[in-house]
Amino acid sequence: MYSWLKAPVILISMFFLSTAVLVIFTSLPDEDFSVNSTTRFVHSVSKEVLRGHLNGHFHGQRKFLNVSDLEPGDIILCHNHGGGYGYWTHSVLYVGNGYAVDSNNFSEGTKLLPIGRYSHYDQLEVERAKISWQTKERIVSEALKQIGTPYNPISALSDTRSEYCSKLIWQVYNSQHLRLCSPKTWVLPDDVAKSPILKKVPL
Amino acid sequence: MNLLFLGSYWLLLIVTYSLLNEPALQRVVTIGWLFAVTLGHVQYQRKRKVPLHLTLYTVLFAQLPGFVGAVASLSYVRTGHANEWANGLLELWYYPFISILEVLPKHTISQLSDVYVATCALPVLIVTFNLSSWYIAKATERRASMYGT
Repeated sequence: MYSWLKAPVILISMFFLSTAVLVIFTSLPDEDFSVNSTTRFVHSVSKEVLRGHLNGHFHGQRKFLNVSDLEPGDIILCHNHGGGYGYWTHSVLYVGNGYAVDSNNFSEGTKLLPIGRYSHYDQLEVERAKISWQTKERIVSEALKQIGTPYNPISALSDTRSEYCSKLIWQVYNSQHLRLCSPKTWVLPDDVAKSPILKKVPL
Repeated sequence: MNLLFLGSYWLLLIVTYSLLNEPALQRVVTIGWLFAVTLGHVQYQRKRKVPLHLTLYTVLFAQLPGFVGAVASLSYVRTGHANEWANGLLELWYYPFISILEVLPKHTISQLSDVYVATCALPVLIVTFNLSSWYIAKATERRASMYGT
């Protein structure tokens, strides 16, 4: 009888212990963690999950990007009020003809999606680097090579076998010696948005 | 032994998360763990002679987070709804194995990433792996008794 109880007791105990650790961890104030540290990032994301955010749902009004306003190599920043880890919750690279390379979905991996897919975000912004057309074409070419790469938001910046949205953008710009921001454990859409080499495109 | 497997898996999770910036080392650690667990499992089964039904029961419980994550994620994919929590649970629980599955060539299966499909299959594969270890232990035990070793 005891043998049958061991597995569920241990599993349930581990579940409750993990939940307790998570609740205690997220109840700590932000000031307990150094700015830009990995622990602070994990703390921030955990708090958002406990608030019910980061569930993939959207509440925004429909907005549309005009293809004529965009150039290949532009970075589209997306804000979802129900997101987390910063103001900008997603970023994609526009590659031309109304499409963007998007790495945001574990089920489907990195994909080429029409920019109409981002109309359900609460806010959209486009950033552009002042670079030559040849450099933009090379950036787009590098991004297109990533289609099919698995999505993994817990992957290192140096790991080229998986991507997430802002890491992909950072890597393809870095491949052309354009460093959007200093390399760190996680490069977030907010880090890309603050890049000194990008300028906001009036829409 | 499957409880030891579960306990050691938590340790593997902690170690691989701490090696986040070293993907190659993560893969080495995970493969080393697989070898260690296979050998340890076979040895343990030979000594303790745990019945098959108890092994199956224990390993199914040990893989419960994976089964829940896979079923929830696949059901959302099928209905076309987005729910990142189910995918998040899968990614967090199977993180050590995902670093190995990423070595697979880029491919999609019915518009799904092959890494995602393989991750959803992991609970079943791990149960199969455990049961195979049980049968290997039984076979080596029978062989030992036949040859008097």
